Amino acid sequence: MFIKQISIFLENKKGALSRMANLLGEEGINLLAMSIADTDEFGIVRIIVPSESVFRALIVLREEGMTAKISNVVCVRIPHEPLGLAKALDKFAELGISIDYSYSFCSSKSPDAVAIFRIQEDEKILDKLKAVGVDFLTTEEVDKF
Amino acid sequence: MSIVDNIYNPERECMSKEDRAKLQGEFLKKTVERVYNNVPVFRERMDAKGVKPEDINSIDDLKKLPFTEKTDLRDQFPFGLLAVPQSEIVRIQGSSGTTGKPIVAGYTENDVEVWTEMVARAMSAAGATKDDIVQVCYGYGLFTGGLGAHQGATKLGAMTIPMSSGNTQRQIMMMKELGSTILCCTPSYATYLGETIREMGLVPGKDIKLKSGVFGAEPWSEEMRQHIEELLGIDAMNIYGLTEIAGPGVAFECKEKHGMHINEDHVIAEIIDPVTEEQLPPGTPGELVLTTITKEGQPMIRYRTHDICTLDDTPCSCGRTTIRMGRITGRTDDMLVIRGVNVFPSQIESVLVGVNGVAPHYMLIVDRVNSTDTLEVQVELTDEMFSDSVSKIEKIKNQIASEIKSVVGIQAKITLVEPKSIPRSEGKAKRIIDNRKI
Repeated sequence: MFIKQISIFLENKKGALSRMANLLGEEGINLLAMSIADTDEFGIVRIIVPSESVFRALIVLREEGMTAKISNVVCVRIPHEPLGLAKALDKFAELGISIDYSYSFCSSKSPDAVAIFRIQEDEKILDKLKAVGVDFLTTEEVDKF
Repeated sequence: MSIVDNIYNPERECMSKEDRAKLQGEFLKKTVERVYNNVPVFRERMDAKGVKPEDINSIDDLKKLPFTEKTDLRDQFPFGLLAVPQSEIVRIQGSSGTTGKPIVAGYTENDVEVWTEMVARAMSAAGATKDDIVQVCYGYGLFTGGLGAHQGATKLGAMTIPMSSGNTQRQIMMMKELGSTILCCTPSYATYLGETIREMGLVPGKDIKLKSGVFGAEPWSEEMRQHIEELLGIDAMNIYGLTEIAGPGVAFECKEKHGMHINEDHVIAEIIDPVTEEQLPPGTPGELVLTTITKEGQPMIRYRTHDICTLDDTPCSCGRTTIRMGRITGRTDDMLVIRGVNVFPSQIESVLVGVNGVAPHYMLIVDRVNSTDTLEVQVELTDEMFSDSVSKIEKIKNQIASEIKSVVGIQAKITLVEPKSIPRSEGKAKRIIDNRKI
């Protein structure tokens, strides 16, 4: 149920993000979702790409000298309506599961939205969340979303 | 191929110390005669010291000879140090050098042969035979890494794949499909290959058939060796060399992995005190000085490498009797004085290795603000150091700063930068920018 996310280290300088986006674009790699965590000196860009492109994206970025890494996140399907996210988050809180960070995306093809969470990588935690009705997307579902 | 396992030339590599000293004395005498008669700048220097070729009869006389410096190679560029007519040169190798003017070395046919055998000995010590498949990912060209490894592997009769550097995806594809068994590259590239192989889900030992690697062209540590060995499931061996002397293969590790055997039938090694220029006994750290004793094209007499290491002449259980050199722990020309404290880049490097397990590229930037020296350490963030979490990255920065403080006693500002943003030449990074106006 874990989905592969690529994190990229970028210095805070002009054109850094556009360079990254161009590199992936020229390779024909589409971004499904993206978020940026920033500090004074650097930023961490986190992206989700179609599963077949993950390693290609990683290698393309690294060959161009960028520091990039794969980490595992979960993608949760939520109703695209008020309190949709809140209800999902309540379940994490009730089970005492902490979230390192989160971002989200939606698509014109689906009435739902997807919230991405970075949580501890432990299948047992996923099982507990599933048991209370949290709807995790599989890799294939994310690809088609 | 030799009857003794993994020793390419037992006659030369396992000869008694006495026989070797005699051989070195003879070769040295001939080299000095040739150099005195053919290279004007050496002749002038020997004359200035009052030394004549007939004064050089054994290796004990080595200390009478003047030194050669890297600046000599620049000043005499390109052919001023040749000891043979230019028409005898069959190969030029060189390096761009970190400070502008390049250096080149001319090889006769025999020089190429000797260099090739030195690398063949190194590969053999790493377990290579004619049944092996050697993947060379050093750059091919003026840089001695690619062609040096290529020639050595070919000499052994191994199947040699001249991949050159870069294009990691293709490197791994060829490694997998052809079943490469020996890897030749820089230790940092070996780490990168290993990490990438793991990330692609390939299993060393199953999908990847590597059994050993011959790694050099940059300084590395024991921690990095362990890391590479675990990543790739191989024996990782160190190889040392420099273009001025021959190229890789001047010294190499055997399976004992405790020091690099110097090819003493071609090169004499001394350790000197860089300040007094006196010879130091084995076991004492100092500057490595090398003299070529079989080189025809561009012989080097007492070449000051500026590399700091120790020599070890205790017996090695592999059977080779050659003296061994330890890892390069620093450079004599790299020392900085910051706020009155002597700082070697190697100290900063050891901190970085301690924190990350591997040596990232880094740059020391020294400046003077309000008459106080400041030190900034720029560190290229490697994949190993990189964490998806901002707080973990901040933690690494703080850890580096506090360990530098405890090792060299100076508070440094740590700046993390993107890979490859620090300038390099031939894979070696420029380590210091001193902006102080003194």
